[in-house]
Amino acid sequence: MSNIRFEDVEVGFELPKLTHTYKRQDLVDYANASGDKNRIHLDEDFAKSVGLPDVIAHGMLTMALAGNVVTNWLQDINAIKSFSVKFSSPVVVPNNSEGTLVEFTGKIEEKMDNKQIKIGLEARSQGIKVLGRSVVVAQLS
Amino acid sequence: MALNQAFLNRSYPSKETYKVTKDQIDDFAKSIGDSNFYVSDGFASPTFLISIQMGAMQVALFDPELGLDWNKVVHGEQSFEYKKPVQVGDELSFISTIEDIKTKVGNDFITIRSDVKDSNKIDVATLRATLIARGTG
Repeated sequence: MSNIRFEDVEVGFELPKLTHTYKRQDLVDYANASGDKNRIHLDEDFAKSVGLPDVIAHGMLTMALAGNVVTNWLQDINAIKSFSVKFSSPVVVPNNSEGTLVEFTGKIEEKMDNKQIKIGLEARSQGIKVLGRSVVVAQLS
Repeated sequence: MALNQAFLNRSYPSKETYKVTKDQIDDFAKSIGDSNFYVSDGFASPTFLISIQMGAMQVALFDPELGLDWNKVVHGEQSFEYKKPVQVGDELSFISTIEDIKTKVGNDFITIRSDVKDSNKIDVATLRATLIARGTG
């Protein structure tokens, strides 16, 4: 249960947003930590050989970064009851120093029974949604 | 290529239990930039279990009889339902079940549900992964 009180939040409240600049090293680090070493995330030649524009980020890295919007706000792992995402567009990560910027936002969409709330999450890269419908249900106090 | 419908509802219990270590939790949190205090308290980030689900699913997904072309697979959807947080020292077992197989506009879709329990058979989480094999035509 979070210290954030159900009574104190309103539908439409926007959680503090986060940005992340994806670099190639992020994909290497995530591959090592998660065990997902699919070459489309690590090997540019391979990614292009299967029809991708370049190396793409793990969808699960993007889900995790979107999740940080919620966990940073709630500060309580027990409060998260469910988390679901659809992946709509890959985050392409070229081999350069600028990387690929993605902005993560979250908004309270619904106050439910039992002091639970539904938070809708979005992730955008250059205006393009990289996540489809993405939702966290959280338990407030 | 359509997937083999005979795989629908097949279940694959994990052959071993997965012992969750502090290093795994810390490395995962670091790789996603999760520096919340629950990590230093020994609790895993919300999507941590994917690292174990991927391994647990592969028994089914790599079976050539299924007909899944790994060169064309992308991750379509992912969900987690949480019963209790994962923490250091948990010994987790998975049962992965192929919940749905379908073909839509030339693409193959497969959904795998993984039910995760701890060593006391207490429910920890249910994960669902939908993978899409993009059609060639």
